[in-house]
Amino acid sequence: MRSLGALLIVLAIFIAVLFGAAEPLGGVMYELHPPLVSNLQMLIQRWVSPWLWDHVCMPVLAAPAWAVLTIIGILMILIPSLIERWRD
Amino acid sequence: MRIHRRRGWEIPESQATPEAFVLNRRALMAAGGAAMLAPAGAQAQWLFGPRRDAADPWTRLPADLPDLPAATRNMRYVPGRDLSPERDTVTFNNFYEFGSDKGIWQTALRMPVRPWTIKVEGMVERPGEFGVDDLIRRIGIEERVYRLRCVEAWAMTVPWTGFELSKLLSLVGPLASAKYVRFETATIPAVMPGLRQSWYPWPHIEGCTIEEAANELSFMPVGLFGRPLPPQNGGPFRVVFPWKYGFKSGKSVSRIVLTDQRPKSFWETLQSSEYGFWANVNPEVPHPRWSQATERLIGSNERVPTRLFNGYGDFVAGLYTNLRNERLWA
Repeated sequence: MRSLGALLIVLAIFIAVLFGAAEPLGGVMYELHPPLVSNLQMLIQRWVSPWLWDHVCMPVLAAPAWAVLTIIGILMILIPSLIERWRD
Repeated sequence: MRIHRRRGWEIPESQATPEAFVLNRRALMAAGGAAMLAPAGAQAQWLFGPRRDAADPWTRLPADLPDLPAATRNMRYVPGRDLSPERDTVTFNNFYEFGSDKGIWQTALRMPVRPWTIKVEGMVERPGEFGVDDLIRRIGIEERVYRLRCVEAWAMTVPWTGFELSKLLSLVGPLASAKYVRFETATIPAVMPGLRQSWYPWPHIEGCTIEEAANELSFMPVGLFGRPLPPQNGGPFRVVFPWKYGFKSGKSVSRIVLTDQRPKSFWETLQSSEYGFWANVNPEVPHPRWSQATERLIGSNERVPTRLFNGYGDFVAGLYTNLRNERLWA
């Protein structure tokens, strides 16, 4: 999990350089594969919950891609450490 | 040789009801018929009453928006099935600017619909900007009941009030060089949460050929069930091509451009393998992810066979005879 977190941080840097620091996560997904984000939206809004899309997914997708990936990467590095400390 | 091409409302003589039956039934039918042919507005009032609150899908902003002038139903376009329930028609909608689920009507009602103007420009002799109410006064309106077929394999039967697209275009005088008509949906970020998804190719674009635009079926509704067209249904002003899948019929249109370039539509940009330029209804050509052979009628949930060109082939098939190499059905 820590390795995956580190990989996400590297990916975040790569995306910031390639797409620009302001490019939202949704924009990067759209650039990579246009139907991806619309299919995800339809899946969540129609079959899970419109609320989930509006209040959770939208803010995440509208945030800069590098920031989202960095935060997730840091969490993936920190969470195993916190769990180990809690077990001890 | 005179070729008689049967229109949608025509039936063979052999299927006509004998005169004696008609005369006996006439008294009974008169009462029922009068009720059925009552203007859709009166039916709407009976169904929903004058109520205007948060749970009323007919709520109008501003609430004092004038009613539409009376419109006569054009009996040339007979849908061959019952109208969809009015409440379903105004509460089950696709309008991506407000969200991609079907329950966007309350969000859409926040959209201001007056004043509303439409720019018509591009390859025309007299480009102009027209107010919706001015167009209603200048062109006049009629009611048409059309079948509506969504690409998602559901269908409705809807009484639109409006005017032919060709009448609007005649006001601006298309140039001979104009080959296509491009419809642009309004973008109002303050009331359209979908626009926050900045990565999508807004504004929502749709288009048709100039020949399709000139077809008598191409309609510009400003009303539904005799009332001003609500935003969730594309109000205050939209286009309808009843022989195409519903996504081709642009909603809340604010700009129309006549051009010699084929417009690349919103959905074509997003997913060209599934949504093309022509998108004519064809039960034989499945969507990549589902069959188009049948359609579910909203309201009754009955599943019925889909018809080629949504049953309007007599009116439009001739538009496509020389386009065999095009992807006409997606």
